[in-house]
Amino acid sequence: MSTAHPDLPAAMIGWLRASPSVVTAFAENTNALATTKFWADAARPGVALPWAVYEERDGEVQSMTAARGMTCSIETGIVRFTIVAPAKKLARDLGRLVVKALDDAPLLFADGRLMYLRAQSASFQPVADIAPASPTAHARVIDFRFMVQRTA
Amino acid sequence: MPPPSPRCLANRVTLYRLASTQDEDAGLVADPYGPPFAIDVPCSVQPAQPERVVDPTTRRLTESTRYDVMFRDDHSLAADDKLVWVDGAGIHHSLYVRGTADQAGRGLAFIVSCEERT
Repeated sequence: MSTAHPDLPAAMIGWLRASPSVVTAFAENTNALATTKFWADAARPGVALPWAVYEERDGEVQSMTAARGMTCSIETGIVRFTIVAPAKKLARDLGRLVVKALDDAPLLFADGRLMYLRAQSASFQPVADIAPASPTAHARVIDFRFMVQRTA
Repeated sequence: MPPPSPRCLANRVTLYRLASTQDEDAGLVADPYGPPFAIDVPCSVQPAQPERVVDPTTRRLTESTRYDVMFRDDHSLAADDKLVWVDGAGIHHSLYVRGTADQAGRGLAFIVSCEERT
């Protein structure tokens, strides 16, 4: 099921869209990308609950000593998914599905080599206001820690 | 202050009371409304300027429109009750109640402040 993508976030989103259980649970229409449920930074208008948004946080690069004209580096960081659903139990269940799909997923991408990818924390963020077309919403926040090795 | 003339109350809405039904995790269920408690209620629906909102929690770019809805009678609408209004183009709008004000405190006109997010 692995597909080559330009970078880790693209590979994560591609993997989610290729996971039948995730696609079904989010009611993702893979033929209608304008209303897709998976977005970077913020979902767009018209996207209906539930959805998932990722952001990249706390990245750090450790470079090794150059040898034979090449430098290896390892980037560590967090990809945070916020999963928003109209009911609390649903948000929790969708979060579990995303974790199950992405933990140790064999992702391939052009921008490096994945060494490690696992969820390290999950929490709820209270939604105080009404959501689009819904009086209720619950946000499940899941942090995935990753390590990517690169050679330049 | 006289009550609003019936000619002013040209719109019709359906009213729903919030039922605080919980899911297994004690959060509100996704659609916490039962059947409507009033239908075809005369009122005046007054939309305000829409706003662009990026909600930091729900992480979605959203259009928010506030409404004042004027009624002749007090329907005891409270926060998170719902009004459904069908506009002239046939589009259904779900308006969520912010609160009700007894205009001028005389029991003659009731302004319900609502919000719609799309």
